Amino acid sequence: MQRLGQKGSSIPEQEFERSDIVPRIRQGTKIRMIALIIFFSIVCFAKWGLGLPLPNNILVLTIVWLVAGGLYGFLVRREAKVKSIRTMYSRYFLLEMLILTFILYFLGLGGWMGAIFYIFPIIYANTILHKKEGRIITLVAVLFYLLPVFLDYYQVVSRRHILATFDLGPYRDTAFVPITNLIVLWVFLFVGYTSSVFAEMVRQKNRKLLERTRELEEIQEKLVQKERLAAMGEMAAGLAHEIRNPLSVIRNSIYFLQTVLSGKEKIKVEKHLKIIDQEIDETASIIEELLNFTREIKPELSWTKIDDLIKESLKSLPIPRKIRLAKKLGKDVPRIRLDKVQMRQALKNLITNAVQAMPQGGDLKIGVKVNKRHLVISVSDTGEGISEKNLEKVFQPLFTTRARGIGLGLAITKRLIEANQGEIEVESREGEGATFYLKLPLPSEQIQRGKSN
Amino acid sequence: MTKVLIVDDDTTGVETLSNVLEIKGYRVDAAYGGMEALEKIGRTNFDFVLLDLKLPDINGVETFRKIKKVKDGLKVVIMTAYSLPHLIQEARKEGALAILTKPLNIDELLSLLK
Repeated sequence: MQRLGQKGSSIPEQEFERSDIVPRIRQGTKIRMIALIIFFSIVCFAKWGLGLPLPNNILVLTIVWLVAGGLYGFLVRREAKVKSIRTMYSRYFLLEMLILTFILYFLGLGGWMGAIFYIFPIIYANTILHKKEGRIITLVAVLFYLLPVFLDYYQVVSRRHILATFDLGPYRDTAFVPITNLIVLWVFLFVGYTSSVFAEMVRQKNRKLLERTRELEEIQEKLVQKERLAAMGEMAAGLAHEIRNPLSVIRNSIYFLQTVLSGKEKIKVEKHLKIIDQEIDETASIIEELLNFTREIKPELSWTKIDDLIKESLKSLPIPRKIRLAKKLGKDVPRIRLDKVQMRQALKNLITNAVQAMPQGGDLKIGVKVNKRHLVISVSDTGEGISEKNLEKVFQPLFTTRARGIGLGLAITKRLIEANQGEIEVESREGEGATFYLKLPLPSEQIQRGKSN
Repeated sequence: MTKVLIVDDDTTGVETLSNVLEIKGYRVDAAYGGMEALEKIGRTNFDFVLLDLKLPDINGVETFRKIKKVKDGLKVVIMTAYSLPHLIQEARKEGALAILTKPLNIDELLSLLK
């Protein structure tokens, strides 16, 4: 079922499922991983199988590899605006960095530098990825670093065999070795911790900036809307004056004619005069609606029982006999603070809409529910429903599918609800009726919002 | 016979409304501006004044205030095509008998003029 919130939803999840970027990343990473394993096997075979000395160029090659991966990652991050894809690539890249570093270290390439390379995945994980992942990677790096050290310690394999270039010379059997190991571990942990703290700081700053931007955007939108309404109001007021005056004249004339009318054609003429009179009413109500729409809404809040409000709204509306009315008012519905007149108007608009949607008759259901944060009033009909295309337009001013009417009813309703801190949503499918939900914040929420405003 | 003064600058409006009221048995006079209305109210004893808010010289509320100075207690019905809530509010505060929005509901108007 289509559902439309009053706020635009973010990019739907399916959006990136459909895009081909995910399989591309998977494919690319798979190829790189396989290449890495082949590379590792060849190098191992060359070192231990053939006993060849390893050129230091391999170190350069590895660095080039990593830089290329990083660049590719940068491109991915730019193309994929969805966070989960970026995270996915970052994880792949991290894995690659770890494996490469391990290879370097295990082969003894670059000596000390081989181990120091662990710092890069640690920084990467702690800054780009989540805090938790950063910790895990730091731990993995520590374990990977310690693995050859322990292998040596328990004399499984001599470190000198593994780490060809790892030679401390005269310090080999002194206390210097454990101390250097401790220093390396300390550097890992320190770098991990500081980069994580630093990243968190930057992230927090960004978050604040983003929040502030969003706030400003909201304020700006409100201002623009207010300005637009003011301009519209000015126009509407002028228009109202210009139209109401001639309407008044027409009505006077009709009244005069109706009063003096006599003769053979009296009934027919009277009928036409009545039609003209009704059309004047219609035109006048359109002007009224337009003026109401452009007026600024200032709620006067008072504690209100929703049940009473619904009853009052129904009382003043004639519900045709063809329509069956079912009220489902929840138990223990708390009173909430709102402007009674405005809410009654909003409810009346929704009920009138529902009735008008069922010219052949149907079921009109009005329900009240309470959830954690909101009191939800639902008004549903079994009319024609709203097509998917129209669903997002129903709250726009001047949108209507009816032959008559200016199309401001729901736009006004939305403004009234929002002025009372509520939200309005619609759920509908063509041919299956429509349901409108009014979500009003519960008193506790109202207080909180008051604070944050 | 009940005497009514219509104050409106819209001549066709005045004419049609006069015809309606005359046929219902009222004696009607018309003024097309605030000052003219005051002048006529000073000369003749009207029972009711139908006053438009938008007038060419002084606005309806101003005219109303001046009418009260000339003849306190004269029943004044405000007619308006305007949607200026503050002006309507003022007129209400001044003590208008009723405030009717144009197009006028004539039955309502007639019931007021009894």
